[in-house]
Amino acid sequence: MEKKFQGILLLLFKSQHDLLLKRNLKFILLVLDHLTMTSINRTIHIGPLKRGFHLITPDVYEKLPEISSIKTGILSVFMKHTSASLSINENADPTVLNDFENFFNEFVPENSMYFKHTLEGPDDMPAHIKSSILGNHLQIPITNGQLNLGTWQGLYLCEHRNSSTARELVVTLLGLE
Amino acid sequence: MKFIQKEIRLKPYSRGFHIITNIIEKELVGIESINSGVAHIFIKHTSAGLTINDNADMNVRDDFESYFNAHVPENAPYYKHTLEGPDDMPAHIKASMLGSSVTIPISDGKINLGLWQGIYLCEHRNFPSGRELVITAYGV
Repeated sequence: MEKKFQGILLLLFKSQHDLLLKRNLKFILLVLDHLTMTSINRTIHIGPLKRGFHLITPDVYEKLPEISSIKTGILSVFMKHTSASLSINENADPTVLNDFENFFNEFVPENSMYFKHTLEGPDDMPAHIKSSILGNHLQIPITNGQLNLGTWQGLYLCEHRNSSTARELVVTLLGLE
Repeated sequence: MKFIQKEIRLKPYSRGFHIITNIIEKELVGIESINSGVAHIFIKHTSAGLTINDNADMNVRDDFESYFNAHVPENAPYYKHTLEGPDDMPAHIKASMLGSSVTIPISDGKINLGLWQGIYLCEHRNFPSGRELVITAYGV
């Protein structure tokens, strides 16, 4: 992109004198803004994963290598399901993933007597509730070609069903190249 | 399209819920030129969170702390991640429940919060250090 911009400037220098260039400076800056802005939108699949909490940061990098080309921007990750969710949490100790699963199983119990949505099994309605508590999307800043996460942060895919297919996610990159 | 991004470190806050709207507004230098856009505030930690809630009555913040302490108890018998103290695993869970970021519209050069809305830093650890935030604002 920088090369393109330099090319435009060179062309203008060659073909027009200084006065005209000054007059067009605002336009050039607008062109620069327009040229360097990027948005990529892609559907990716992860899994199938077993019920529980899973780190998916490497999967996201692998399926969206264009992250490395963004200088300043935002990554949005959207889960297109209602019984799985996304979160950001500890990336180092695998017992954290188990503790999350155990906590949420107790916090949102199966077979609650007031559940009516039971046709798909006892894990289904709790899965919907967990999904809404944890949320179905993430937004992460991008700085110099990397997700700007804290040292101990990782992206979690939280699978709340006993058996599921691969989960469909929409990832959207927005930023300056 | 304009992109503004910066990292800041907050002073250490005691365990509980704290309003940081003023700090964020001060740090959002440059958004005056964004007519229509979004501000994204991201916390780079896994035992503190960000949320938006009532900015007027301090009791709300205390009630939040009490509610989350009651519903995400310390010393649950099944916790295995206990090396860093009894407040650590609950802090991770609360962080995921409340979320790591807030996204706020920017209208006419200012963040467009409701009259009673404030940005909360939710500090879940007993002895926290200063928390790092990434602020990204973009728009036209």
